[in-house]
Amino acid sequence: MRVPYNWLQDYLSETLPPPAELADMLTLAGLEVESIERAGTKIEQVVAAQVKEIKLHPEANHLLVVQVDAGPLGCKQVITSAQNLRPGLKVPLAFPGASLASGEIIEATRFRGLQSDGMLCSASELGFTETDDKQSHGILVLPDTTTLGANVADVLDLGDIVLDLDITPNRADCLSLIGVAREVAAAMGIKLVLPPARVPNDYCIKTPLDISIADPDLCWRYIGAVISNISITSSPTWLKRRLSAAGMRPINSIVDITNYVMLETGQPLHAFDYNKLAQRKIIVRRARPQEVLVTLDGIKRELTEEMLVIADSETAQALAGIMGGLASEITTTTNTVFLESACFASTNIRRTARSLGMHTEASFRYERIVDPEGALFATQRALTLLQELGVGEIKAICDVYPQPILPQEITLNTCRVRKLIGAPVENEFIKKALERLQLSVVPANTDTLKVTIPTFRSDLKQEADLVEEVARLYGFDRIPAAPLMGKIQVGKKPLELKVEQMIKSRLQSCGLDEVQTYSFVNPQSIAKMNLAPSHNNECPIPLLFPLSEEQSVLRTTLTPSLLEVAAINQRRKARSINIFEINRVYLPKKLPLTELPNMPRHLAVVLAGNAGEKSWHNLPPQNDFYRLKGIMETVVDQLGVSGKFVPITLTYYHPGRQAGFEVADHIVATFGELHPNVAEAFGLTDRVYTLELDLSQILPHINLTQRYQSLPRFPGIERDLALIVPESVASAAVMEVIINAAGPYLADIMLFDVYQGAPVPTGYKSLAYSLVFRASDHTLAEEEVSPYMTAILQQAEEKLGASIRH
Amino acid sequence: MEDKLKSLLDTALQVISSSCSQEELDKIRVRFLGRKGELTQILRTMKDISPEERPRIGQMANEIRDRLETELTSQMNKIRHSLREKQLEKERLDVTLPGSTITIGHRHPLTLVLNQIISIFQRMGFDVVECPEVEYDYYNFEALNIPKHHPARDMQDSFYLTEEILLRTHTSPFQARTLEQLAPEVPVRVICPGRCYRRDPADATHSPMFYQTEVLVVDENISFANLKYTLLQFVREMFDEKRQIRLRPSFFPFTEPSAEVDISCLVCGGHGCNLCKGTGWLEVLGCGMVHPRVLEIAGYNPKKVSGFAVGMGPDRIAMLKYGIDDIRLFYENDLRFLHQF
Repeated sequence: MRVPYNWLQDYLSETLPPPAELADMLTLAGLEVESIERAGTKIEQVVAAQVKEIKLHPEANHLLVVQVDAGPLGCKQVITSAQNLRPGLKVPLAFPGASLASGEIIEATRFRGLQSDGMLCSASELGFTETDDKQSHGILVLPDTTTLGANVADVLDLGDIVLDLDITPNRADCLSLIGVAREVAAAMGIKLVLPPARVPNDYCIKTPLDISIADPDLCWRYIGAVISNISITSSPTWLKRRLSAAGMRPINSIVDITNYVMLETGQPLHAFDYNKLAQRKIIVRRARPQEVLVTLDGIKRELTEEMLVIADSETAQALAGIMGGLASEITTTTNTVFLESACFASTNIRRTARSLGMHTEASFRYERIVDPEGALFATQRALTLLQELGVGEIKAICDVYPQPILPQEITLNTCRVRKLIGAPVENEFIKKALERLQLSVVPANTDTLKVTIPTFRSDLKQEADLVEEVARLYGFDRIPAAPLMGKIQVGKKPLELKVEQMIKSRLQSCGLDEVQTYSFVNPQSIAKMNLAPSHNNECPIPLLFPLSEEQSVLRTTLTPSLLEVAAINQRRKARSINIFEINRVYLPKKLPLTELPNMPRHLAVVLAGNAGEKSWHNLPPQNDFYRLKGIMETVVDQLGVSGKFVPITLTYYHPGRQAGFEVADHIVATFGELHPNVAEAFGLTDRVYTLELDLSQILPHINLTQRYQSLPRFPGIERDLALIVPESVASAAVMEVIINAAGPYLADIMLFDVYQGAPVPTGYKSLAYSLVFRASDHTLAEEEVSPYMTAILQQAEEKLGASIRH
Repeated sequence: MEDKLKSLLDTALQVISSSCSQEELDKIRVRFLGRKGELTQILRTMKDISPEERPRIGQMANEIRDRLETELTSQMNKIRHSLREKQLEKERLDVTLPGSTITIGHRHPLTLVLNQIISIFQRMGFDVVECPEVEYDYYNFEALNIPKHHPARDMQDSFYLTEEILLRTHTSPFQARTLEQLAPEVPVRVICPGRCYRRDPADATHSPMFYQTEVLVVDENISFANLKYTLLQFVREMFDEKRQIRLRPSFFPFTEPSAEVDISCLVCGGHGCNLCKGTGWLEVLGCGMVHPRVLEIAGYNPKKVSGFAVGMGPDRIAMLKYGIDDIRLFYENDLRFLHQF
């Protein structure tokens, strides 16, 4: 809502504080001032001058050489192409060095050999709209009374200051200057001054006009007025300027007055060409099936029976509360005007505006509820202006108001006000505050007030709303700060969030960076993953109206998002990309959705490039499958989750480099080297390693109990053992055989070397283990360990075809 | 004999003090103190002296042996010491060379801020709860006093998945869900962090996805003054002790009275600068007293209990705290950005 400062002043009994101070006051009263603009202050060194002589340019027939008289500033020669000049007109002359609305600076120039000492300005060059240009056909013409040499910014009062207010949806009443003025008056404790709105007595308000409301559930009140002998002209400059400052385009006197009154009162008005209404009838009704209406913007609208229209005896002539129809538009030939001031049901207007995608100044106000009591005032105000400006003659007024809306009464308990605000607000203050807002207050008993709410404050529905009004006027800044009282208790946190934090810390200490990516993705990114059809990734939940294809479905896996992050960083020359994310994925139980989807938290890791940075001092550590597996292991170890690594066959991994982690017969995580085809599809070069883990599935298996284990009191016996086994034998199988055969004293076992090549025969590999044997109650003797070493060898030979490597 | 011993001592002391390696010292030890060493040789002639002299000579020989042992050890230490000195001198480094690169991981700035918010409220006794990101229209709007076709829905353009299911536009549905679950139990002191979604195309200040954290208190006698105190505690812990707050009346359908909260500008402290657009204040969050309708819908009696709710954007707070000027940076994940945190 744009509020011109000088215009606002019209409605207040005292002088307003300076704009910045006023803005602060409004902001603290809940009408947030987003900006203070100074329309026209950019216009400098532009003065009023009179055209003395016009000659054609000898060298260019589209240019004119004009001599102008700028009074005390002397006579100047200006070259222009404007067509609307004639001697005697007073026009704006910009001197060299002058700045215009666009910020353009004027310079003295030569046109085809002739000097131009400045420029004559059009309306838009001074900050008016382009329509004004069309009306003046070129240069803006100043009033005859203008003093020559006067600063044009002053003449046109271009220095008006405009406050741009962000009005919250509840404050429909503040979508008008009078509404804002009412707030200012309340905040300052001064009087609101209403503009003159008189209708001469000789017009009976019940003069029969043929108006009927067929759907009173959608139209609460309809006031029509007929004005004849209309002369459609351009509005006076002051009116046009006010409209422009408030952000509206001046059109013609009739339309401008309806807009002016809407800005002033918040009541949208619409003017019809009365003679174009069939049988001069007005029927407020729902649209007929398949009814169409060409609205003022020239667009043919297909209406539904849900939509309210203003019709004549034959057809729809306006979309109620939103936009008029082209057929009954005011034109230069209009002789009689039918002026509408009505009150429509907000929900219906909102629904219609939404479904047709039409958002107008009128619909914006109707959606937020227009005061039914204000409709008559607005009509009277508009008619007053029409008379003042001599636009036409008032013929008739008719008010159809089937069920007058009565002011509501709210009982306010002042003790509760103090309790809710937490400040010692006195009864007397409460009463005065509400009265300043034009509510009428009657004390019922010591601490109870009966408050009558005027119809323009439809947002005040219950006690709490009044508490806010009191608090606002009391001043939020005066309310003290008081600590919460009560039981002291520890703030608790769900296990899942604790686990999330633990994993994040662990991965951070592994040197991984955390990323945050959008929950919605491009379905293409899932396709790029080449996911097996059985995978639930194939059916992501689509958004009904996505912003773009890139953000059109909810992700079912995190990995593609991380691969995209990796690709972007790789393109930006990052050499080591080690990232992870923990966030939710969205798995529908059924599509289309009938209930909320499952939204398990996942962890995804992507490693691409080096595992760390290199320097003069160290080579960069490398990423490979086993680093990824190490990361997987450290995560589950930390959480005390036991499970096993199992082979899997997913198409997006390297066929020979992938594994799953199985807990209680469910694969809860998969990881591996990304298949080069997939890496390529994401634009990634080199090998990429990815992991995705379903946190919700490991949650039940987490064991965070930590118990200290006593340190060994007796020395252990260390034995190294290198076994040569066929290449195909899995390391885990060897380990299992060793552990099973190693007996009760085995305290620790570590694989410290894997080797292939001479002297190990082709087709075989050597696995070297370091074993520690220890007893908890005595120092072990060699003889106690040797039998187990023999057993290990024997078992390995039998079960794995292993031999010892010497 | 006495003379011989004396001259042995002199010679030995001289040789020891001029020796400069461990090997040399070992040889000296053998030469004088070894089984066939010079001292032994001299003592072999003890039988030639008179028995009265023997104890004195014997004592003298022992003293010489002890003296030489001491000298040998001390010379040995001296040599070791000087060897080490030389060694250390050789090992001098260019300490201006950069250190080895230690690769550490980085937390996302939003996580840092979220964790901090959660921690502050947890320390004040608030429980943390989570609520669904995909939500029913009912909880996202209706239970929060925002019926269908209410103009307040314009404030939040939503991503719908079906007519009744959408991506939550704020964490506020948690108010309805939590209260519905806990009613009529008091006190309620909870906080709910999470992702939210609005149909705003991404630009420097908007993101179709962002984080929010909602704070909710319901108890007997909760007042606006309690809200103010809690906010002050939070703001001063989150930013710094000097922060002032300013509450401006505003509108949220689910709180009444409602307020927007500004903090004194982090750059200029309130004098006015570019960051605060000359106002001296930065908007950080919205809050208010829980609307009696919301309490009622959930099953509380608004005549008996009251409460306050606070909604804040960790994205906004992180931007202010770290001076980030473009919200898109959070979701773009350029490593050069992430490595700064």
